[in-house]
Amino acid sequence: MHRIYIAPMYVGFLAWLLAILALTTPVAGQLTEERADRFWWDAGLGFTSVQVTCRLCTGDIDSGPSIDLAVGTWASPRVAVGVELGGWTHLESDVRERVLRAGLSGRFTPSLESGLHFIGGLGWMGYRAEDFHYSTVNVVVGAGWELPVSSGWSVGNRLVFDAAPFGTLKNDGVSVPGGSVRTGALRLSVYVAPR
Amino acid sequence: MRRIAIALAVVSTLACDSDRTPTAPPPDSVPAVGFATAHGIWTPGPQDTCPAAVHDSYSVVGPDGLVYPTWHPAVDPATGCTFGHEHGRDPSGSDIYAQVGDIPFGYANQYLEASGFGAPRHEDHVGHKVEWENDMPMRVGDGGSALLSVTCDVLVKLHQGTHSADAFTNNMHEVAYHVRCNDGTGFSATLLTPIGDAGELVVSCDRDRHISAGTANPAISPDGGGKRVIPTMACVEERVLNAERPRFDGALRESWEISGRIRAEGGRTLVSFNPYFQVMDPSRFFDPALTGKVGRPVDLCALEQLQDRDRCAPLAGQTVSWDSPQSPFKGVRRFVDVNSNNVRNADGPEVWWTDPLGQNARTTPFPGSIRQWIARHDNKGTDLRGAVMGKDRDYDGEGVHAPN
Repeated sequence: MHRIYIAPMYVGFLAWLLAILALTTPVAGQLTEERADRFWWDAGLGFTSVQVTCRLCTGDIDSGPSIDLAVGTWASPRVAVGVELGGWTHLESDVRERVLRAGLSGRFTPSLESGLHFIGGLGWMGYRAEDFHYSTVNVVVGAGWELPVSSGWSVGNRLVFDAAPFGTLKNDGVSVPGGSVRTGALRLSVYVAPR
Repeated sequence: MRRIAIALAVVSTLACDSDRTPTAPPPDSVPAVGFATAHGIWTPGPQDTCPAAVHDSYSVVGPDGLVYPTWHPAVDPATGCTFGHEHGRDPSGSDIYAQVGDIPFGYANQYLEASGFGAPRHEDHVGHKVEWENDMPMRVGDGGSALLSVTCDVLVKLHQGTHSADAFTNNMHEVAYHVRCNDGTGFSATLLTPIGDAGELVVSCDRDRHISAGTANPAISPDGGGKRVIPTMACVEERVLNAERPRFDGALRESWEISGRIRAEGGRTLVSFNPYFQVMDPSRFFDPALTGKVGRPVDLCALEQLQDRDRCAPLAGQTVSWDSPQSPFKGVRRFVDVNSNNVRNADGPEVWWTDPLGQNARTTPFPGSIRQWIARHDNKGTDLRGAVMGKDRDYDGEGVHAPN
């Protein structure tokens, strides 16, 4: 039986994100070919649920706040590439868990008339809880929606899934027997970005 | 959130069976060839209603074919007679019991001389105390419990006499320690382990203070790791006699802190464990001013200032002897801090033979050796630390009295 903890603030946050998705309609001309020459960046805050499984793992789904930063350039009007950094934290039984991510990220916008875009990436994920830690390759897939809110800024949200299947859990550098870990994380976040 | 769980499970793969609890083969059935020194040493006192023959019927044939005493209830269920002492928790409820059977009391003591130690060390019968717990959640290193779930079955027996002067000086005590965990950790160790320095005790209310209490028996007892934390008259004065609110538990609490090891020839450590065996109500404390250096807590209850207070309250001013079943100090309130359980035996074998002190482990028997079992495992990465067993239990029973 997995334990899922959802603080009331997170429930409100999720409701807000869903409202944004529901209210957002395709915006003609939002995304123009001008951006093909521009760099882009965004910064997001969100809520992430992480599950780590291994032979000895509890398999609990732990949830906590997360932060994301990304910067890159437009390879074409529909395709953005860049690098992404992110972090997540959760307090479990007085033990602070932290996950850091870094990697290459790509975004594909199917229609310039819509804020919808798809996200893919490949990078590194590191987990630490006091003396216990692992690092692994991380695969990212997801989707988002971006909405202009002023002439200079956009607000967006994204739902992204991280899959990191090849970790080896270590205790202060020593491998833990039965510690071949697989990590799945579901990130829901809202971000701001210059237009 | 159910959908989140389903989505996460896509890549996290269905959890496989996490239980790798090691299993030792049950002990071979060995025909009885004689009686161990520990057998038949208990005789009933004036307050005990069971004859010795009933008591001696609670026995087990050890791996050496000798008949040893073993656990029995405080009251014989067949006749209703009382033994006047107890051995703690019935080991048959332990999940490990099927693998280890009844615990022979005095198996390590039996072979001390034969191993070449140079002197015998035998212990009384009533001091053998059993404790166990199944499926105990363990603490996994520093931070590992956030992610990992390791549970252990632990079954232990220590000879912990808290009624006489024996432990003031004597540091060699028999411990049988059995642990099985779902991460693969497991061992069964029987040792005559030196606890702290021979001839010396550590003062319970001032652990920086070591008192030389006399010469150990045997005099060649080696010093060991850990310590025997024992109450003294100074602790009684500080926390009972001179305290505004007397606290017998705080004054009398004993803690025998073991540093147990099985070492291979050459000194490599195969197993280490360090449980703390604690007793809240010993029937003695160290008082160098008295003959035999043994003070009796229950005698304090006769003092006017302590009548009806703290642990003396049930006596309601009545004066009872130290070995009365009515005494509130009988050594029946005990618990065990399991602490660390380290195994370094990844390459095996599982069966080792050691001298009774757990040293010189070899793969074949040798004169005076005793059998140990260690799972093929190395748990360095998990650094398992155990919880507490028996904190809420009390082994008082009909007819139980000191010496217990």
